Amino acid sequence: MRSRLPTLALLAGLIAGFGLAVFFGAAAESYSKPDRFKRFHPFISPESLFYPTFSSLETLALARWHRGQTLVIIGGNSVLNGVGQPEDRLWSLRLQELLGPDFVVVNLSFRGAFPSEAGALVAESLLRRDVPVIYVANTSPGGVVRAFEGFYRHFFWAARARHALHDWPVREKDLAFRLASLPEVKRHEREEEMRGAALDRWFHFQALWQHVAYRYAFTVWNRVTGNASLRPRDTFPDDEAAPPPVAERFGPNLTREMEIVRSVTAPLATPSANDGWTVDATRLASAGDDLEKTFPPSLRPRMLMLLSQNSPYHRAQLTAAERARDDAVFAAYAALWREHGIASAIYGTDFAVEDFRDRTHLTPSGGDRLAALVAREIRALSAQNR
Amino acid sequence: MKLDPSDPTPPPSPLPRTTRATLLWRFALGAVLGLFLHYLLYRISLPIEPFIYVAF
Repeated sequence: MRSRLPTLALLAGLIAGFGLAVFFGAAAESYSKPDRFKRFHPFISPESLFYPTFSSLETLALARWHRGQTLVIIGGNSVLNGVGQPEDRLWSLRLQELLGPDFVVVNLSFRGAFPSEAGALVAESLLRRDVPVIYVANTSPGGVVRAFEGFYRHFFWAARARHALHDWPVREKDLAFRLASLPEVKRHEREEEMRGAALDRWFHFQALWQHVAYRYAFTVWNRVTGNASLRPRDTFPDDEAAPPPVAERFGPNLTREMEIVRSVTAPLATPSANDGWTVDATRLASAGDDLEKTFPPSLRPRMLMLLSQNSPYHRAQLTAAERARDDAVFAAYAALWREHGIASAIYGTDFAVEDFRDRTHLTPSGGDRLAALVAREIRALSAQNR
Repeated sequence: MKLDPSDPTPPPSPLPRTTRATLLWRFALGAVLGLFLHYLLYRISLPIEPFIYVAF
């Protein structure tokens, strides 16, 4: 017996050490800092290998909400993340000012995120817990990427593993179908991600080590933070700079940018007989099918989808026919979202050149205009949902 | 303690100090390994490159 004691002691220590980590990880799931949170800037986002957990997003939102308020969750991509707006001029702060104390605005957008990711899942989860939410995101005309197919799909796996989302057979069937359609390597990759999320549900390793990375030390070198890789992430500032003068904004890469502007609507419409444009019905129907399978019915009446127009500077480079195509396609897709029960609004068409920092991102003045539009829409949505 | 000459089984002796120290050190090592295993689960889920450099 005595000769086995050292081995047993080692094993007991292993279990105790692992168990302690699990315990602290579970505690870290409910961490709601930072108090001064405004948005996920690059140093506290997956761009720099920092992966906030699904639980931390939920907790960030809930910690700021009080009974009697409507929780406004901002999702979407770098546009709603406020690229082009320094932290103190962030558009969602202006939105909060306009909406007043009956609402609380939490910006859970991420650069490169799709409207179905991150904030959408938090909105769905909290709605399921009877928190009155309104979800705002942005997109372009076209199809809708599923929450389990984008760069931030780890949020979906985590939410699903925790049974935080609606029990929705339509989405499960869609998930199974789309997984089966993937090449074998990709399918195995997704299955491994799901297994990781299932393990994390019990062992809370993401929560603990992301918490350590945020408060004490990051342990992985990466290109974004470089020589400062080991610093805790709460020491990194949100260093989004103020936009350069207008004369310096739109020149760089104009040819490439115009290709992008044209590519938004060119595939979605064909010239019609009367010098107009016919929006491609097949693509429209496919996008409608995407919507039906991506956003649960209970969330749709509480959503606002913003269709992001390009800057007036770039639109002015288009021919009249191209601008007409743009208008037709944007209008058709805005109508599509509404047909599927989701409020939508096109923004940017009547903005000034100064309101854009580049082709797509807004300056503080553009953010203020966006906030005014969104505040109006949210009030209307809130009245409808009472 | 008085030994009973009829009982052939030697009485258990208390653990010597060196053995207690070994057990403690083994336990501590195990705890560190357990913590490291927990950290590994987090570490292996991270991509090698931030996606933004792979995708854009």
